[in-house]
Amino acid sequence: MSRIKKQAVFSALFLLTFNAFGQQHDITEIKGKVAKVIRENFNEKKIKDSTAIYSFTITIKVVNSKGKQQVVTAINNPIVDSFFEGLDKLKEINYAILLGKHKYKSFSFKGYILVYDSKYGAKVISSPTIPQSLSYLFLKDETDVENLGNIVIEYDKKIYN
Amino acid sequence: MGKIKEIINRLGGRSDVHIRIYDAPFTTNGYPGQTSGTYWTKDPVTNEITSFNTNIILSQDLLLTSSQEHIAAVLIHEILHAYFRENTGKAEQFEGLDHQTMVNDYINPIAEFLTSLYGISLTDATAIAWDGVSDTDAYKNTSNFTVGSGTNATTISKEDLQGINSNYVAKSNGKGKGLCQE
Repeated sequence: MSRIKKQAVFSALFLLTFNAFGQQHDITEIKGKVAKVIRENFNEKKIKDSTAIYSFTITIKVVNSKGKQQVVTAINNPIVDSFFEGLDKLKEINYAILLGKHKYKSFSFKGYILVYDSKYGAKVISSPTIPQSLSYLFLKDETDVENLGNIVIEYDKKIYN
Repeated sequence: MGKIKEIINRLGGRSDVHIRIYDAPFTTNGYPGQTSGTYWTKDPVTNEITSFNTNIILSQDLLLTSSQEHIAAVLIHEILHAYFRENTGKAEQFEGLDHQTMVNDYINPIAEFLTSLYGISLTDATAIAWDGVSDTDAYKNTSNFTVGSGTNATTISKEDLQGINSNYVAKSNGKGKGLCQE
């Protein structure tokens, strides 16, 4: 291989690697932004004082309509839905890198919330209720749904004086 | 750097720690301050804590007429509750132990911090530092309290300690700075 060809191949490989790293960085950044919105818009005051476990999946549906991004978000657990405020900020994130050449794509973000009663050990979670509590970690159809991350929220209801 | 200043800097300098401080007409249980609404967010795969959040509420009813020194002591007390939660990541492990830990490890640091902040005597600052932990056995079972440490340590009776603290709580008998500049 001539020296010029070798240089060309090396440059192409370098650019490919650089682009791959760059894209990976962008994807991580988008995932970080989604996680941040979810973390920062949890309203703990909405949760009643009782030992409990809640699970949820947030779905983010993104449509590229004539170069413009349209986003629809939803939480599959109606109780948990009331624990979050301001999730509309998820619509302000630019998902273009994740969307790629697709016109439409669905994403998910899963989590569960553990609530510790204000009196430690006063109540326990009834084991027969756990399957129902955890059922919201799953969607009816997860085909082509890309997961953007997971979260656990541990909430202590105790008041310290 | 003092222990209390280190804790304040540690909590204040981190973007993943969110401590909101409010004032409200009253606290839930009628105390001058409370720390509540504590939650951690974690990565379920790595179990790494991604954020710590809590609320400190100060009672307007009890503190508006109090001295700056007492209010500062109440705030430090609540910050220590927050610090213990942030530091352990597990609420239940420290159930009931917070005040005991404050008595064992933090009375002198709180007193030194208040002395450096307001220029009051170490005896006065120690009396204020004991406020809020009177439910501990160490407080109930002691009739004389140590002021300072090492060879310069002195003692003060419980009666005198309570008297000094009451003066700062009520801003009476010439003790304590008011909320407005005097």
